[in-house]
Amino acid sequence: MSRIGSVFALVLAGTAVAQVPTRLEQIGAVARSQPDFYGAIAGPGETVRVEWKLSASAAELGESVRLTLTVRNAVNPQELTRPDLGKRADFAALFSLIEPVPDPQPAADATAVEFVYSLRPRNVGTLTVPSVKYAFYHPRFPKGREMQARYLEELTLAVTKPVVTVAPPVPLTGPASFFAPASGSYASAGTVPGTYWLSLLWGAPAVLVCWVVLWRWLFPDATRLARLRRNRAVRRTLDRLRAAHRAADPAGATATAIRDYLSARFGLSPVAATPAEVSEGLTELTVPPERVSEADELLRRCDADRFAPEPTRTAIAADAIRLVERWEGVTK
Amino acid sequence: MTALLVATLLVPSLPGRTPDEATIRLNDASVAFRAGVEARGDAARARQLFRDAADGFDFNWEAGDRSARLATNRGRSHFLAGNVPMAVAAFRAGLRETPYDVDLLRGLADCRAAIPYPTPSSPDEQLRPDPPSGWRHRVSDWDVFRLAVIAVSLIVVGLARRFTARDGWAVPVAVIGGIGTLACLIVGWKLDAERAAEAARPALVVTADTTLRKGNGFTHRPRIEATIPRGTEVTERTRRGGWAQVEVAGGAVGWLPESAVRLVK
Repeated sequence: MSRIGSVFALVLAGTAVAQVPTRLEQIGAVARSQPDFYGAIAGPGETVRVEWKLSASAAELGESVRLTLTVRNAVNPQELTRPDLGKRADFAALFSLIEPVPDPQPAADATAVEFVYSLRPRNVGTLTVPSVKYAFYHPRFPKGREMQARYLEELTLAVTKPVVTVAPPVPLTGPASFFAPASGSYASAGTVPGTYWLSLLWGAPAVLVCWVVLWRWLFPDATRLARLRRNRAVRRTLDRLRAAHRAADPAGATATAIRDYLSARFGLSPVAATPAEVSEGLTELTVPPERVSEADELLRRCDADRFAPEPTRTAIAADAIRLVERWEGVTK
Repeated sequence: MTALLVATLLVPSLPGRTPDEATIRLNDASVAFRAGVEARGDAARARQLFRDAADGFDFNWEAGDRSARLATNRGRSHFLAGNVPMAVAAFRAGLRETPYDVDLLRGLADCRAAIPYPTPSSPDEQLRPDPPSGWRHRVSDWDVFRLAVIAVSLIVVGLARRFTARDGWAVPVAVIGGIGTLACLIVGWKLDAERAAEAARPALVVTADTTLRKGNGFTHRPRIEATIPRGTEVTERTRRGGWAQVEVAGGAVGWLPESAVRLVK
């Protein structure tokens, strides 16, 4: 009897072992459609364990942290699906970006499967990652109670303001002269108006005419003198007489200038050198006697002055100029 | 009621740019320029300030102030704001008004030095313009006028003395004045001819790196293989269909899109 009982027990045990599901297709559709069930089936001797952890307990706003969900002791590691945290409203309220990080396909006999998420917090502060229910199928439990669950613990994440690192400013480069405002006036120089050129064109002749007319009106004697100077002989004589005082022998220069004047103006022979010869020559040329005597007297004064102990340098020359001007009708 | 009606009719006819507004903008631009100089250690901030200054100087330039000082400040502001083409255009525009201004000439030379002109494969493809030459860049109209006044005065004095006192120096002085007057006339004629030649061929500045093509379309082959850098000065020959036929400094003629050039004004 005991032998029969042992065999029966073995048969029962073998039937029970054969009925433990190890794949999703072996459990019912109702069980598979349970919420928060991600395909984990517990092994015959162990229960499924889940845990998660953050890569850091603190992060700056804008940075991402990694959340790693580890499922252990599932007999079907290749059939586990990733919980979609992005569809959960509580997660979406906390994190602006929830990205699953692809994992390598686990081995058929792997005892642990990891699902990694990249989370980016929305706000600054201490965030509490909400607890998540993880359901699994436990074949050892009585029928109707095979679906068991574990709750992942809440995690805390401190989010701080990002530390803004400003690059050192780059100096502005350019020609040195450009870093100074231009000096001067903001008034435009412009171009020369046409009226200015017309004024110059017509103004110059007008000024010239006015100058000449006014000068002749103001200096009538000077006008006559100017007319006189048009005679080459007279002009040269007057210039020589005015320059006579600068000569080494003023009286001699005056006498020479007068003799040359008489030669050029009245035809006196150039060989007439002494006062007597000059008077004789002028008389022969029918020059009025009073002029002959004036010329004679002037030339004698010149000779006297030349041999005087202290000659006068200007008086005779001035008298000679007056003589020429009087003879030419400039003065009386 | 009548006064209100008259005021209503008159207000729209008032010019948009009042002298006060121009003065205010000019003062603001000057302040921004000085602030930019002080902030030159931070290029980003300084450039923004120089941009503000350039806007103010541009406003006054458009309002009719064509002084060499404004043109110089305008060109310097644009250059320091990073807008080399506008700086070149500003200096060129200033030189058209006062071509003899030393600051403008130096500023244009500095701008050209900052432009990466490509090495020409043939002389006609040279893009770098020669330094400004000609009489306009040496003497001003006012200089010629002042010299003409002096020369004509010498003529007047010389002839007047010749016709009155008959001084010996009168004729030489008049001759010198005549020579001076003749020289002024020649220089004036040269200045006028250069001004007319420049007006006949308006200058353009390339505002974006582009390609000089053989025809007025992007399907035409490049006239110069190298890219025409922004800031390059060209002279306009004609326009057709959104394209401008231009001549580069070396003499090569080609077409540029109108969107890539700016008229110097």
